Amino acid sequence: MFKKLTAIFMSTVLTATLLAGCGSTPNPGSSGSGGASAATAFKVGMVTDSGSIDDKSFNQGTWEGVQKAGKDLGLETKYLKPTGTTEADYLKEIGNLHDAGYKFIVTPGFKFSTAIYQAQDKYQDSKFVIIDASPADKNGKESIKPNTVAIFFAEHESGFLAGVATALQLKEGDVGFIGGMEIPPVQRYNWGFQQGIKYANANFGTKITIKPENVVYQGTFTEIAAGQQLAAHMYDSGVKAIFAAAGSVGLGTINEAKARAKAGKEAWVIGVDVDQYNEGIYDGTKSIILTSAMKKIDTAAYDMVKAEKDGKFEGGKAITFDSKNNGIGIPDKNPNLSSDVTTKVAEVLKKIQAGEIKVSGERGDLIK
Amino acid sequence: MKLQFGKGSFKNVAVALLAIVFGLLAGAVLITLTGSDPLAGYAYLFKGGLMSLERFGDTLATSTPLILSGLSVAFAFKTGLFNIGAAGQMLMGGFCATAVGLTLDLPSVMILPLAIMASIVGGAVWAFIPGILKARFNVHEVVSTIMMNWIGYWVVYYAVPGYFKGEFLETESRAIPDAASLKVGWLSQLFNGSFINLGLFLAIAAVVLIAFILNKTVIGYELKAVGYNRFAAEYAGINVNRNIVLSMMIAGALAGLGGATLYIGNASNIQIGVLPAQGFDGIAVALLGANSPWGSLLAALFFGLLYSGKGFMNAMIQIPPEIADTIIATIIYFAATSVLIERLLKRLRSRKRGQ
Amino acid sequence: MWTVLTQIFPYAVAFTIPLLITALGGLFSERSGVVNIGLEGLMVVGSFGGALAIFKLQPAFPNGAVWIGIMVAMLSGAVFALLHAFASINLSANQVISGTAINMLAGALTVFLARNITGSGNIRIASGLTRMDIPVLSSLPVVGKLFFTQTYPSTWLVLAILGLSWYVLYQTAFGLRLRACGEHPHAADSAGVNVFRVRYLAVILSGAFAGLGGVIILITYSGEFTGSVSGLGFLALASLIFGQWKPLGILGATFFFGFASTIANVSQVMPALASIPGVLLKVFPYVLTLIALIIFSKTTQAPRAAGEPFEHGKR
Repeated sequence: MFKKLTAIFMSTVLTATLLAGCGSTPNPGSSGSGGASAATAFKVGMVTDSGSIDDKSFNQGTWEGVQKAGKDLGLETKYLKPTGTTEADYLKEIGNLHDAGYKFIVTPGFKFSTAIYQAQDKYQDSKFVIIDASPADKNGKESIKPNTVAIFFAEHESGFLAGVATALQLKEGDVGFIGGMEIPPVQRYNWGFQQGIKYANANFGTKITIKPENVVYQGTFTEIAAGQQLAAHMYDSGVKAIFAAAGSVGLGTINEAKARAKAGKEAWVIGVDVDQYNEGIYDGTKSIILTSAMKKIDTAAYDMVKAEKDGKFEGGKAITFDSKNNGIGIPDKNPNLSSDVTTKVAEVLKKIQAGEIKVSGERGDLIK
Repeated sequence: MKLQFGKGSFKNVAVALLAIVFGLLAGAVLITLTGSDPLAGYAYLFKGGLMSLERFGDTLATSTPLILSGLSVAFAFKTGLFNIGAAGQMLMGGFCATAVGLTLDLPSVMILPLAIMASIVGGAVWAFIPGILKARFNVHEVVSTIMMNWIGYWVVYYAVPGYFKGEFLETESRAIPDAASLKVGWLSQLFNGSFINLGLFLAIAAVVLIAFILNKTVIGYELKAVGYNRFAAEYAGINVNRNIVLSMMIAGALAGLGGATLYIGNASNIQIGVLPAQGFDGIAVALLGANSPWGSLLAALFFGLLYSGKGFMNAMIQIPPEIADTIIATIIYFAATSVLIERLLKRLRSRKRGQ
Repeated sequence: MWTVLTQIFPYAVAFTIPLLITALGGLFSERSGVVNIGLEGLMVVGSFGGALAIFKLQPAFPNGAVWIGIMVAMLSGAVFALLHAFASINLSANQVISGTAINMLAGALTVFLARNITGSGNIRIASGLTRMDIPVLSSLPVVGKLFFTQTYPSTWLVLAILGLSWYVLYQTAFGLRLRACGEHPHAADSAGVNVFRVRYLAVILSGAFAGLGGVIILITYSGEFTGSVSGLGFLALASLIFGQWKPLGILGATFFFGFASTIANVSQVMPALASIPGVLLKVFPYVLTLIALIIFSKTTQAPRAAGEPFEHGKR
């Protein structure tokens, strides 16, 4: 009996190998526009973090940047979604991209840290861009090899600007913060936001308060219902605006604010990562998104691809996108902010750029 | 070695293979609909899993937790229990192994057996509760194991940041020291740097052991008797309750061991906020493997190949990543509706006879 | 405490309703003798069908789109449930396995379709249902604040279906036949009941209800189809057993889940509860369910023939 089984199994394997043999003839690059000049043509790959490619934030932002670069520069692009979130899963997809000829690989997320640490040695003919982290071994020892660039954002500066804008627009009352998981980028948003509020209170005479119980990390980026419930509770206890840096949890917050705004109550959300104005639209034209604390992931991804194309890839370096290179900020236009507020925020931005205002990326004596 | 198969084993193999063929055909239709060539796609799928020694090693490593979770589900099925809680048992097993690895500072030869034992105990304890609830209070194991999944999820969710927090990250534990990892240098080098590890041997040993228990021992006979007809078994003097608890505990131990191969084998730390998908895939593995230990092994290798190769397929041709998942689900559906396939086989056979 | 209670009450209800209607679907299926572990997948399918319909129609019919979406969701859930009905009724397949296949298929196939139809694996809708206070009733003391403020229309729809289901199950000939199929299919068969037809109908109903549950999540609090309902289908299944396969029982069980998980979620921002370790609050509903199942185990009301394929002449 076992012989029979083995025979069947072997024949399956054989068929598979045969099939595999047949498949080697067709041209691998069957899609995209590979028509660019051969010398500088390279293919750009991306591996997604735990969320989906359509997360309207991190993965999607990176992918949009990569795609735009692909279109503008005539490069093939591709993203892969790993089956799990372990280092092995990430390395496997990086290997798949590499073997398929995608030798410029962008990975969004701190979770890629150890995977890129290994990949930069293993695939020395490839270039890597890691966002929000440096490559590090499992004991946290960082090392950026010449074929890798690590990108950081000054989320605290972005949060600061959003905080100033919120304070100026609302003038007085309570605000709150809902974070996803307690990870450095989210924490920096939070700390920056609190500093922004403080700055506005001290320099523009606003009277905005943040109560310690209204600063929370929900603990996931996925639980929409919890986002709604937390937001509802905060609004009920008098909070006028919530800064939600929490993925889908933030989506729950936005939905709750929309429901309240429809009923004629005051409820604002400060968006995160990208301009979320459109997510907050209700009754046709109005939106509950007061402003958004953005980090321009798409620009960063685009710039890296373009740099490689132009032969200016700054391998071995950690690049920070902050106010100085316009890598962070709030949207230029948002109908919910008065023009006076927009002008004042622009002035604050200039002061940060000039170094007159220092925004700290550390917790210090701030809440959580 | 002489291997024992049940009466219907040829039929089981045929059904499983046909289910795979139908699943692949359905996948081919979908690939064609999205405008790609299914033959090329499948070629890349298999190449992705097999074309180099490293990839072959990765495929085996991907299969390892699936072998054990599949074995866990299959074993419980034999006693008539549906262990939908393999994911939670894996998580707890992996958590216990990680905890041992991070707490004790011992040489490899001592810490590895301890970590493995811890994973087995962790999984067994997590399954003991549904087992005793089923035996004593007739609480349906589907509900109780789901509850245990969530309880495990939240326990790990709070315990990891509380006691084993990484230096910078709240969301995962510190990395375990090399001594406590199932990855060993010679094996990785043998497979050109693959993440294959000792877990594979543990899994194969478990398959051999479970096949032996089920087919050659009194315990195995009793467990199967309980699964076949609880009341008849009771009448024959078998202690049904004891066997139910025992079966759940063994199933949990297997899943827990699977957790060790996942968290201190394929990975080197434990993350919070995720139940391992391999636990749920174990149901599919057991099903395709017709609930037999060797069947589970083969089915897990096949699914491991699919999971391992699908990334390469996606990298080479333009198809959505969900295709591979759809193929797997279709295979399961066809395996579930095996009656249909059996009828088809019967008709083919009778037609042959008619000629 | 009272103000806190009134504040979280509407959200507990919002979380309860999708669970309730899905569990009710499971009730019809299991009472007819077909175990439906595929509720999770059927919810996903409903969420997908609804999201797609609303996404496509909302620009043209801003007001009616949501209700059309609800109908499409129920329809798609019902159609997908046919797969389960076919496998478990016609082919006498193992119902647990067939249900598992439904779950796996739903998650993969819907995201695949979403990506091919809309270009994205997630479908976000511009707006869902609007909450409202019920006139007059909302000003009643105590109950007004709890039950009639900030309610979604879908809540009342589901409660109406619940009442109707109770009536159908216990007060009509069809209900009697359905329950008979789940207890003694052969006796029902000899009494002239078409067991096949009754079971088909019940499984289709369970699909429609689970689909409704899925779309209610979408149009009340999530606003986005993502290819998952994060285990709520399994929680509905647990509620069905917790609620002892009875409409009012599952109302109690699902409300318990809704309330307990809402409290666990908002405990972070409630000073009164902040001192309790989070892990205790999070595992509380699950542990209590286990305890409740032990307490009810003496009087378990599981349909006797649930999970058993029916074949003519088999005694």
